[in-house]
Amino acid sequence: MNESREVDEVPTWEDVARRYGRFLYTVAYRLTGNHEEAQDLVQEVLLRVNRGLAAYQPGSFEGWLSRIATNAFLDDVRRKKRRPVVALPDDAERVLPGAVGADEALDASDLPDYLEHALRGLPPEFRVAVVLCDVVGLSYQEISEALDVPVGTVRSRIHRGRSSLRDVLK
Amino acid sequence: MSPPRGFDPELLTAYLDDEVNDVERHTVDQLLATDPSAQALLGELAGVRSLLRSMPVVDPPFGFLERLELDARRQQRAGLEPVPHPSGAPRVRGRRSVVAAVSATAGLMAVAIGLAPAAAATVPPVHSYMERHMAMTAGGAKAADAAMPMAPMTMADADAHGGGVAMANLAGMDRQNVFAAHDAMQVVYADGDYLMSIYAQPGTVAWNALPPGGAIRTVGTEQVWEFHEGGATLMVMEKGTEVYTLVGAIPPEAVMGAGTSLPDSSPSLTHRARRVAEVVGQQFGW
Repeated sequence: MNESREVDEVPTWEDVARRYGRFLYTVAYRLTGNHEEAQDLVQEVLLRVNRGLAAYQPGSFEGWLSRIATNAFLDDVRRKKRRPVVALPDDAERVLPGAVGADEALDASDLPDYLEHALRGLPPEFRVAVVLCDVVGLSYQEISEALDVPVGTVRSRIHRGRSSLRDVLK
Repeated sequence: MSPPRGFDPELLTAYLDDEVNDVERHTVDQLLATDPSAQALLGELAGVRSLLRSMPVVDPPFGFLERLELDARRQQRAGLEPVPHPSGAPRVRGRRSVVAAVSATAGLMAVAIGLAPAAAATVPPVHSYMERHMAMTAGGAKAADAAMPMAPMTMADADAHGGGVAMANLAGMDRQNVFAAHDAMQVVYADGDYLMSIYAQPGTVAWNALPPGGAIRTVGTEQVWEFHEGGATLMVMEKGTEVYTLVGAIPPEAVMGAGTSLPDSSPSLTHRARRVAEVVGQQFGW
């Protein structure tokens, strides 16, 4: 996962789904922290990939996919921030579900370990930088280009992300 | 644990990642040579980095990637973009979950009831069967209907009219759902880990007209046509005057095992198929 491969030929969209699906899913899961949102994100990424395949320049295909994934993830984070918060009704207890469904129970039994919990708790910008560096294996320069931020910002986000994880894991 | 005043701790992170220039590296080396707190901090950051880099690849829910691949292939053939599911993404069911509750869609109303002549040589729509099964595995009944519409049958109707193919248990798998359309039935079985579909339709197999990509082989006394796609196995076989198509993302021998335990068709098969269509038609007002 940490070694990005050079791809000289542009793969077909179907190739992307077949050959990079698991990679994409791992990145999506590390970014979102849950299976449901990871599935949403992978599908969104594939939509964007399909639109952008023609413009792909030979190089690190996984880096290119990661850039699309992180941008889609951050777009979603921003979109959610813009959504107004809906207040719970007065009789919230009456309308809130009392028990988890089968799928939720399955997810709960599947809960990731303490590190995944800690990663999930990082602010999105830090999490993205850490995931791109430590999960995908991109260089600071590549992350800088992917996120369109200076290399110094990348360095800062990775440091603060890892430091937060260190504090949580202590 | 903190480095001395005036020292930028971000340098330690960059140092670990070999993302420092010569001057910065020299600065860090000097500090580490003299400052135990910097050494300790570097060790802690290195530990976190190492943990992060050892995180495993995440396996998506069962059937999710197959569904993506099918979507990509289907849309690529049609020259279209994939259409996001109403919920935003395919809702993939867990391996242990039961097949989603079935629902009839408006599109099913358009399914005409036409019966194939009894014992006519036929080519089962293997790709549609495969797509329907994989879509069902990944996204439930609605997704399956988008690939190939079929109407749900009650278990009582399946027991009364489905014959051998709709048996409650088969090769260690339990029947979960039954669907019907035209002259074909789909019975979905699950064993707690996997789903398998068996499609049954009257007729005999037109072996020479099956699409390219598969291969005919003989297992014992059975002749089967075997086809693999996206991690799934599809087998076509003939029993008397009934054509069975078995599909599942399970080993070929497991599919074959289920196939060999299917009963030969009874003489009343055509009547049964017609009755299935009638029952389903009444149910949905066709």
